[in-house]
Amino acid sequence: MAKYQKKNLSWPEETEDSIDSVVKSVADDVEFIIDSFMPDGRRFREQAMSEEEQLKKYVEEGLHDNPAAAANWIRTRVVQLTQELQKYGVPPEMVAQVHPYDIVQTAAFKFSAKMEKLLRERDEGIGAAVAPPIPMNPNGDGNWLSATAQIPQA
Amino acid sequence: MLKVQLDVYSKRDRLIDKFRQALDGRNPIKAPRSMTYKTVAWHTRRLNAILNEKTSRYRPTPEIKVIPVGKDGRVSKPIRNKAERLEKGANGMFYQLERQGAESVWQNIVWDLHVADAACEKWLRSPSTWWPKLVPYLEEDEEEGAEPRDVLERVHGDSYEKIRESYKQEQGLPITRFWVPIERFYPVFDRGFLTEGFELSERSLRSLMNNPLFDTSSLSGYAQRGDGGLGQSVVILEYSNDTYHAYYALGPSTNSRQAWPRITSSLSLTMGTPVLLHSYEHGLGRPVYNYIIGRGGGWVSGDSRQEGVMEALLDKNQQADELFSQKATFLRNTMWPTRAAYFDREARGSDDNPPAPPKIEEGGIISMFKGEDIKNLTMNIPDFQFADRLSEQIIGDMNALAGSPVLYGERQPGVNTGYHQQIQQNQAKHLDSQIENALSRGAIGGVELAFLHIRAMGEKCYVFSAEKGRSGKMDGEYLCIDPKDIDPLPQLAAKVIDPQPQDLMIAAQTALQLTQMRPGHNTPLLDDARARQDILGFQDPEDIERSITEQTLREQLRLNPVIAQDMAQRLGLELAKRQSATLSPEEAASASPAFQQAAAEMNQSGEAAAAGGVQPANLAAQIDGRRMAESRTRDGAGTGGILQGVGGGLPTGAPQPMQVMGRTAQVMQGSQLG
Repeated sequence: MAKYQKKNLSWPEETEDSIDSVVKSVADDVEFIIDSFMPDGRRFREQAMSEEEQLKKYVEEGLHDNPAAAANWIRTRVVQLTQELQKYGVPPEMVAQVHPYDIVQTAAFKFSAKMEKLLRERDEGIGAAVAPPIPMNPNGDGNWLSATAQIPQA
Repeated sequence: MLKVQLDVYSKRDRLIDKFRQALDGRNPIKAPRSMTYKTVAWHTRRLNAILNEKTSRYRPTPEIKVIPVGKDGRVSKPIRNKAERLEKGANGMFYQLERQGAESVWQNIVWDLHVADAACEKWLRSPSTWWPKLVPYLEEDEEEGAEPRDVLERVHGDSYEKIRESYKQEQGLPITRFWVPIERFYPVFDRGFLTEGFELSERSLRSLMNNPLFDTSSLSGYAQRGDGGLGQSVVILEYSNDTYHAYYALGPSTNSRQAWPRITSSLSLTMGTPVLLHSYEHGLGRPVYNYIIGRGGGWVSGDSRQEGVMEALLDKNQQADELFSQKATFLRNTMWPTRAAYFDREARGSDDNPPAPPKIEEGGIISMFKGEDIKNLTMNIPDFQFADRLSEQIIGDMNALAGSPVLYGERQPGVNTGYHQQIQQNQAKHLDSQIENALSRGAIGGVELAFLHIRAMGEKCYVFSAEKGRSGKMDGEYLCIDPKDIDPLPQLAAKVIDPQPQDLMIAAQTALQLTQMRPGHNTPLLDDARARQDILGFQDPEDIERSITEQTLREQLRLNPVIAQDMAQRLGLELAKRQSATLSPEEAASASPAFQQAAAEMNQSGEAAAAGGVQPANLAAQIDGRRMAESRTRDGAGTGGILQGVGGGLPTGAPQPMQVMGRTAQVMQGSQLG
């Protein structure tokens, strides 16, 4: 019969081990939450927005040139992150220690940098912000028509 | 001598044979042969059901406990450790035997002890079979007086000793055990001790001839048939006393040379001439057989107090079979419907013979005259009141004789209260505990034989032991059983049955009630240690107490603010390490003017710091982490330090107003870097 056996870890080692596990898990949760509320992320059971849609929304919401809108955007997400973390069981004092503002601001800057680059490219006519080609109907014999191919007339 | 023993145990053999027949459902059911109805003969298999249920209470293999023996009432730690190692070795041995497929030996022993009031097993060693590379020999070119050496010594030379031990580890313990059906073993007891034993078994003549250990010269003439003796069964007689273990073949008698003895015929066994095949000194000081005596005395002198119980069980089983068959016969002949058609003679015409019965398809329609009818001839099914009562009585009697299944919650007829149910459970437990004690003694006897074999070999033996650790994974190791550690033989105990969950629940409830504060006394009836030991059956209540204290202290330590603070700091570090939380200077510079201005205003206003304890310079530090960390007088301060894998936390080295004021500048500076 398997007997109760003590792990060969000292108490500090065991506690450090547990802390590391908890820390990793909370950090994963933070990343997941950020991913769920960022425009370039994906919510549970939802389709991710295309870059074109993201860019459109970015400009419409005034995140390019309206500091008040940008500040409001950050504030909303800080509240969201804080609430979500608390829902995940992270105690308030630890939420404070993860600096939600920093996290959201960092995420915002990253996202904004990406959108700004797309805007520049669109303005310069490089045309990166084009919807990706989508598969078209098969022409009957299993060959797929390319986006530029002419559909044969009957 | 064998003849005497066959006579002494003839009653036992007949009874056990009858019992095995009943278990196999081969007991004849007396039923009338009739042409007018079909007789149904069904076996209830009640005996099998009882045995299955009773034998399933036991562990698949026994758990051995080596009891450390101290001096002056104190057991020192080395003695305890040694006992624990040996204990693991003994249990590892069962694990190995199980892997070899010998687990059925223990199952058969449990079965026999229940059925026949005794059980027997045989422990043998065969090092040359298990360790062939350790058999010493002389090469052809070596002188006759030279020391024989084994193949490992010849090949490995200097590293021989090490290789030898690892070879033994790999090959395993050279000990096997065999189940001996109790009706094939004839023990001789002297003042209660087993001094000699005869065992009968069967092998093919071919198997005998192919065994290099056996001297079969006198049997060689019989193996000349086309099948090489495969079809000829030969009865083998094994004999063991304190010194020897010998094998004999019971050959055909000289008068009728083709009439070989048969194991099922006691008479034929006394006619053959025993031919010595092989014998050796086993060096155990006791026979190689482990004879386990059951609760009825185990047929030690050819009698058993269990005999009456066995006979009664057989009778009751027979009665149950016959009653069951009668009911089944009745149902068989009444429940398949027979119909009668009633015709109107006048309507059909005056004929002495009734018309042919109508053929009606299932669900079909026929036409008949008014007043005619078709009815089932079957009679009403009786409620079998008397037969059912008899049936219940038989089952109740069998349960009382065998140790009833009330232990598994089956309520007996007439038992309507919990109190009566409890009485029945106690009775069943007492019957079981007698068998449990017998099995426990048997398990100890088996381990002692194994240890004696190891001592007789004088070789360190290894067994593999595997245990499930706390993580749930299996951990294994080779354990050495050193002959020095088992001379003298250690004191052993064995557990053959695990407590049932309901036992533990009842014990836990009792322990809880006894240790609760009593009104008026303000003390419990029992202290915790005694309740743990006497009610719950734990052997080391002090250990449990210590573990609980340790657990409580650990929990208190875990709730310490230092731990929480450390966890928060590490979380900050972890987030800083991750890609999502770090911002490159290029990204900071490329962000929109709206975001840059918004961040600067929020940080300057103190909003960010107020809500969530954000470090005002943190973002800026991230933007230009490396340079800031290097520029600080305190090494490792700031997220920049974190990025470099040094220190962590907040850049406390910078004065707060400067941080706030410099934030926008830093952001902008970062953007220029991009």
